[in-house]
Amino acid sequence: MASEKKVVFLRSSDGEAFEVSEEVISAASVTIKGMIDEESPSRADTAATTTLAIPNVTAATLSRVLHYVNKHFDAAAVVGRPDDYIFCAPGDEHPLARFDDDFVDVDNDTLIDLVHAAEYLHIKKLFDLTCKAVADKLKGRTIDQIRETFGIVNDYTVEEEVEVYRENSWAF
Amino acid sequence: MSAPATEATSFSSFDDLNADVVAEILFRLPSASVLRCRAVCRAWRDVASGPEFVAAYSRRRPLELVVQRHGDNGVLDAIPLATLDEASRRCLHPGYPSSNSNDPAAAATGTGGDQYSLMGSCGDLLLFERNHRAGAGMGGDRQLWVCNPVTRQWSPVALPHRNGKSLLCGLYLHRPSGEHRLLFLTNDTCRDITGPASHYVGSLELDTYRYRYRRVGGPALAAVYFLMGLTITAQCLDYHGKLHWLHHPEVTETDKILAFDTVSETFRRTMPRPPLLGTKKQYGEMPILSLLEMDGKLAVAATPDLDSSMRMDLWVLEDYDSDDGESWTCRHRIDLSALSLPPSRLLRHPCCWAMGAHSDDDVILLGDMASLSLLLYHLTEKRVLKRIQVVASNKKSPQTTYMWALVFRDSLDTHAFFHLHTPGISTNSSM
Repeated sequence: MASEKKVVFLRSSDGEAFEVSEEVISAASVTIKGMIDEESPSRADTAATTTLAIPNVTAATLSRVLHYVNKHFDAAAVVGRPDDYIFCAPGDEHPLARFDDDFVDVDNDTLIDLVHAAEYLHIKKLFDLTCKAVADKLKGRTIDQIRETFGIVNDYTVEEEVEVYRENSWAF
Repeated sequence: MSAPATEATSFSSFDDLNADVVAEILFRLPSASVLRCRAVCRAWRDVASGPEFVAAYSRRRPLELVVQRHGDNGVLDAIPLATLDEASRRCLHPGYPSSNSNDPAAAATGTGGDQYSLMGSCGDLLLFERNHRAGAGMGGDRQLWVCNPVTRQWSPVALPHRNGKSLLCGLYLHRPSGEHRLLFLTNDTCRDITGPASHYVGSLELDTYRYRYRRVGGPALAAVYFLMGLTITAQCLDYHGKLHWLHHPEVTETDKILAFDTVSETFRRTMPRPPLLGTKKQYGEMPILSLLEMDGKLAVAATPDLDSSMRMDLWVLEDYDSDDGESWTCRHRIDLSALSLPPSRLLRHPCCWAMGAHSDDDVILLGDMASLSLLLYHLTEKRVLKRIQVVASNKKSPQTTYMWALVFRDSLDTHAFFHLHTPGISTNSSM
């Protein structure tokens, strides 16, 4: 049975190939589903597997993304109610909440890479999760801390900075 | 497999985030953090200040409940309505304006003789009653003010009459014009406060000092001169663009519900209340009623009897616009004794109101006035999903035993009308 499952290979920007179930990745990623649909007429009866190039995502990031995708979109692996999981009654711990928390408990660079990968691959749940994780890192920080944490250069002139502080003075 | 020709690109820098992604991240932050992010760099300010962002931000933020925690001039607590998530609970400091601008200490604390009590809400606007106690005049000088507690903009609400009695019944967004409008019940002439009264509509977006209030509907049945308070907006429910009141002078003594269409700005014919609730009882035995939206329908929550089992009945209006007349069905009965709520001091049984929870058709929000707690309750599973304490119970100050919780939408919108009315910071005269 398992051998009948179609797989595709995803090749990262640095040339590493990863195997993933076609069904699972199609459910997860709008971008890859589109690529597979485009390819499909040419591979109708062939046993050959498809390799898709993912030029914007490195191997390190792609392997993390696929770990997430297999956990969240492989119906056999998902515990509980896979379709229904977005609404989770307040007070109920979602079975994958722990996994998600650990998944985004990474350094800032890795997290930003994941945001980009999720955006490029169009994996909405992962995009939501990673954006939320970045937001949580911004919450409650001072402006200097935010710049330092994420390596952002302050490009305001002194006058502009005074002005922007004045405009938003109630937030400081 | 050979290495691809494409060069590996790395994004590991925040500077590389495109504007859309920055916006997506900022949508997930509370307003104070977004304002702070505007100061991080130019690119972020450009993202977070555009009108499209401001409009989308407000749409994307979860609805919150706002409670004025320590009574007059108190900080506002905001809690996500659908989840009651304590981790997302935050304080809003609306910057209560002082009527004595020469006293910086008073301005800083928002005191200076002014007391602001939270009375109502409409989207991102909060309505306060300001009581100016500095003068020794009878009952002080009371005004209504609206504010956006995020941008800390304030504007006084001009009453239809300088004298006379005006009751603000509703504050709503008039969708056809995009204006925030005010529905007052007031005397037809300011000279005769015991004379006939009607409803009048005004607009925050127009300079109300020059703008004449427009009369809507026929003459009111109620006499207004003895009415207490300035507003009943908190007791009205906006259901499908129509405001509904159980406790409105026009229907309080009846078994009706009053409804006002905020698009056509006309009163709809009154509707009957659920059966068995119309009988008048003595004070203290009145059923506790609240209007809510449940399962997409207009509903009434009632804690009916003093002696009876401690329960809340949830009635649903089955056919809202039916020509044959509406019919009420008692859909759910909540056993309040199972919720281990303390009895209120006045009524000797739990004193609960109910509100739609905006998350799931089977979940409602209960507010318990005695314990000052909020609960999310699952109607079919008959269990409490979440319970939070809004205000620490304080036996020493029993005046906090009544708790408002108003629906609020986080927003960075600097409404133009705030600039129309110079905040009357240095004036304390009545209008």
